[in-house]
Amino acid sequence: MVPDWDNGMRPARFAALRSLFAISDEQAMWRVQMQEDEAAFAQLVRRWEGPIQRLCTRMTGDAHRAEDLTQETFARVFAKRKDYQPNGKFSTWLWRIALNLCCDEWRRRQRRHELSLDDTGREAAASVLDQLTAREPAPDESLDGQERGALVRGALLQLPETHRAVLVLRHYENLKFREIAAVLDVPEGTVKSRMADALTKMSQLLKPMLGHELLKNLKTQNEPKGHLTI
Amino acid sequence: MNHPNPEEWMSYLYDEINSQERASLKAHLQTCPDCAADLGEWQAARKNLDAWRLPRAAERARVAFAAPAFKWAAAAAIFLCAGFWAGRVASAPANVEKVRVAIEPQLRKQLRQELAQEFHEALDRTATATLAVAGEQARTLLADYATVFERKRIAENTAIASALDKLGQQRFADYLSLKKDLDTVAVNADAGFRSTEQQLIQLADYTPGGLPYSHPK
Repeated sequence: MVPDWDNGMRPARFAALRSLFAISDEQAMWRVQMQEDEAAFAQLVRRWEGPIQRLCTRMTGDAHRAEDLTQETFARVFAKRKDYQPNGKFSTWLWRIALNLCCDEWRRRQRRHELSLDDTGREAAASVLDQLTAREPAPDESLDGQERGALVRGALLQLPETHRAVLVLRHYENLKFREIAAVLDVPEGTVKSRMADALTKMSQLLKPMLGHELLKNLKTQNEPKGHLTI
Repeated sequence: MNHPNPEEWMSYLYDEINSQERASLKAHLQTCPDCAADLGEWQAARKNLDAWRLPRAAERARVAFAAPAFKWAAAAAIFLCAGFWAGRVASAPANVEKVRVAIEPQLRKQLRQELAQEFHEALDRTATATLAVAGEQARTLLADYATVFERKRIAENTAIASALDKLGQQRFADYLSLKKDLDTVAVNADAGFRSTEQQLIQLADYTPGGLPYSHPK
């Protein structure tokens, strides 16, 4: 997978040239491990903080907490640098650390009743659905991006952590199934099975939205043609 | 009809299969409305997942995470340089001796501690290395000793077997010789007995002065 390298911070025309001379993640981590090379560590942070922050946001549903979790992830990477196995892939190790932190955070919040999956996820979805069903949509009105996004976020947070992790890594972060299997340390078949379950569950949770969109599409298709609108 | 399992459909959905498997699954879809419905449901869910877009927070986070570290490091470096320079300029020569006297015990103590720590670490390393070498040598010696012992045991066993064999042969030879001697003795004894008997008969028949002795009837 290609991480979010230097996302728009520098002129893109030099990106290819820089990549020729850039050291790999594993080389950088080796330098951090053996020489405590701060420059190499800063490079790893630059390369991976975007993907890790996205993962934490999707896993917790909280963008602000995700920033903290991202910093905690890299702090833990540095603290545990001696545990890194140089023959392993750095990204696998990094994803695993970030996921563990996300799961810890999620459980901690559940214990403190700051956030209940059943309540918050359903509430988020229900609030949008209430708004949708409270009024009859105009013929040219559709769910806007934010509402759809909130529905998806609410539904995603209702999934079990194991299923949510698989779905986020495969769909949003574009990891292969075998890479996810390495991150989660489970067989590849289990990852695929969880993915199928997660998509089925998401389909069930998002059916109200799908129904609404479908109804609108049907209405649009059934409208008489050749009607000019100014 | 054999339906492909969900795992295979996930590989199909995310294009992680080869063209042959893809063609096979596609052919199955043409004939199986159940699988087509499942796949349609998954595709729709997958499409809807894209509705949750995140703002491009990476740049902001990068600035928030990396820039302060650099700024703080730069500020600390400048502060240290300024402090060092100010100290060099402001300190009077007379204070140097005073400062040296003040910090000398602390420096000595610290140096002693560091030396002691280094010494212990070096000692530990040496002991570990020595033990490792000694262990290795002991294992080698034991292996050599076992080999020599085994060879010696085999040689001794062979010698004992040879001696026993030789002893058996000797005993057999002795037995034969003894038997031969016994036979000779028996034959000689028999001849002696016969001779003695003859002599006894002759002696009995002998009478001094003429007439032979007549046996009483």
